[in-house]
Amino acid sequence: MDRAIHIAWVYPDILNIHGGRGDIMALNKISEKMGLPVEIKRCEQLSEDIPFEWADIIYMTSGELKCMPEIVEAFERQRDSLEKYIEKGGILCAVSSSGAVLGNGLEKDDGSIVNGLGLLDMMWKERESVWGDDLWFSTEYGFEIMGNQIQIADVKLGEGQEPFGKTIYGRGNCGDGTEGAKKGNVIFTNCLGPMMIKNPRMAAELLKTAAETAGVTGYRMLDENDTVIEDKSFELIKIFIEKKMNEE
Amino acid sequence: MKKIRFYAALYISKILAWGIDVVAKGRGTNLPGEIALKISPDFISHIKNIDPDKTIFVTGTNGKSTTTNLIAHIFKKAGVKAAVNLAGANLLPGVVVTLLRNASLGGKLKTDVILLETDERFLPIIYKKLPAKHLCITNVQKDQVQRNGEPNVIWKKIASVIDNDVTVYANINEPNASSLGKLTEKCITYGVDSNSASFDKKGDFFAIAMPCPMCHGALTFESYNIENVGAFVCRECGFNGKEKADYQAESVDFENQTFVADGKKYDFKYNTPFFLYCYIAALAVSDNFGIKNEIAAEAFKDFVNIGGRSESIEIGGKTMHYFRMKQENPETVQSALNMMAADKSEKLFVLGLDDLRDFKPFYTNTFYSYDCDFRKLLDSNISHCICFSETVAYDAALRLLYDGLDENKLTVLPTSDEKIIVEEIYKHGCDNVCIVTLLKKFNEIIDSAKKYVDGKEAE
Repeated sequence: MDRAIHIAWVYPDILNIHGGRGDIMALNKISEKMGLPVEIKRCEQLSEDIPFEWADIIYMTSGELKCMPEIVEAFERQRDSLEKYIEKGGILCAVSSSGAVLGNGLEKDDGSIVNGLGLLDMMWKERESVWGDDLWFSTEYGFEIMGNQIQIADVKLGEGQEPFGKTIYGRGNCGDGTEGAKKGNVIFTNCLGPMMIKNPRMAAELLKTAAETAGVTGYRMLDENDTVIEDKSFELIKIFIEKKMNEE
Repeated sequence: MKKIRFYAALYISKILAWGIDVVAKGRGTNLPGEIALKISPDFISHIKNIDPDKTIFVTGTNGKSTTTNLIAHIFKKAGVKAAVNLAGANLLPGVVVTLLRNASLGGKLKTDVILLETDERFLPIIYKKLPAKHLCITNVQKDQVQRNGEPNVIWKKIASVIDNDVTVYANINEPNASSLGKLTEKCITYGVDSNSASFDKKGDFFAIAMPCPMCHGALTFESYNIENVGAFVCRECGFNGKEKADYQAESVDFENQTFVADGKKYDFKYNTPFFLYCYIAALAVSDNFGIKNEIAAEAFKDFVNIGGRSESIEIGGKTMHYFRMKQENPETVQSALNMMAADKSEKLFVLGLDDLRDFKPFYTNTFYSYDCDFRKLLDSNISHCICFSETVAYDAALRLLYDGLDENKLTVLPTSDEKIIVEEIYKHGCDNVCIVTLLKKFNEIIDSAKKYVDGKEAE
């Protein structure tokens, strides 16, 4: 093993809602189970540089839409470094409303448009009312993910933009069967839960991808003994969701 | 025609409210208002003698009821007649019921002031009908995300009713409330000094604060008086909650239950940091309505809060301590956890989070528990933990495990059957039982525990 996996936790105080910090706790804990050490750095202030050269994973937990312009501006300030980071296969993950930062733009309720970074081909439109529900979707990794979503903006993917998953239950991006968006290692998901806590296989997958890109070896993937409580949670909530599906 | 509809609405709703009072006192908080509004949609505008300058709304996420009740108690002591929605019916129909109960048969309001706890989400709708010129804001925090989404949704709703004609009473230590106060020239601030119950989160890697409501940079709390309320500062724009407020609770003494404001000493019976903000907010409002502080001080002494946040019941040798929480409201959960953690005696901790069933679609949110910190509680002599719920028992268990609970001290019951829960509680030797769940479920557990104990005694 050469080194730890480097995780930049971007703006933990600003992107502070929906228990999002649980995702970072999960990455920390799952990495221990995998025998894959991580080093996590908090990027506190908008004025401070994001450590693109250092990071293997850059993670934005769920935040309020109002903060999006300032966050886009902070990333734009380091546009060259951001593009190099994505080119080298760095992981950039944004959850819930923070995903608006990665898209083409956000149409606000007053009709004004706020530009995003354009890393994922998707357009956001602020909703008149909030949509909150469970979310269950399949992924390209061969496992399903379960969590919740609180949506205050609809997301429309551009033609050719791959989703992160396909919904089994829930609204996902806008009720069209797509959930989130993914291009290379740039990922947006609506999934809360926190997603990485409730779906440790996803956390392990993210860490594995980071390890492969960084050339780090000597770790193991999770087995069923590592996820006993999470699997029981999945089964219990599956019953609850299936009841709702049958009622529809 | 509109006048006729108004009087019809007034008389029918008054009779209905009176009837409900006779049959089930305290239940008629909304229905007569709903009917009045159906008959006469602009009911409020027909009531005579409403003076917006003598109308106070108390709004915010947490603390609305207690603050409203405290102000009402001061008014009563001072002989000021107030129309108040003490029963907490804080939507438009509840407001209408409060007004019609205090109106004469001629449709004239018989009180000196109107004092209303007002739901923060419906504030603009209520304000449109009744443009109060006094707005007391407790805080704007995470709450009911399935309805509200994020705090800024509520912030914008409150902001929409503030202009320079509105006097805002703003909590200077709560960033969102404080920033709302900046929207008017008539802002009166209230706050609390750092005190023996204050704390910080230095050295806690996973601690989070909040975005600055002014510039959206990261806020830092130098110290907290309660969760997300305290001496905050924005390193980006300088916005801060460290200045002395117009009404500042100083020299806070929880042991002797006193604080000082503007050189005068006040007794306060409910000696928790949360209540302090309610007391000082009430003082700010009553003082600005010309009530002598001596009267407020007297009122604080004998104020009795309606619907406490905790209670204890002894059943079969076990003391069941209940700590009230609201789902999807991390601050209330954290307050419950902090109260439990303050008791260092050995305790059995029972956690009953549940799926959300306020409206469809029902869903299984437990993510708000990651905005809370269970570590202090888990370090406060917990003998064992029981997590129960038909849907989210394992999610609640995961939350505790992530904060360091030893798996051997954990029992997960994937059921909401109170009989099974009670049997599990009585399997454990610890007689000090701390329960965090919804009030309805707690009452079911208590009933079941009584039956369980009666059954054992009969054996």
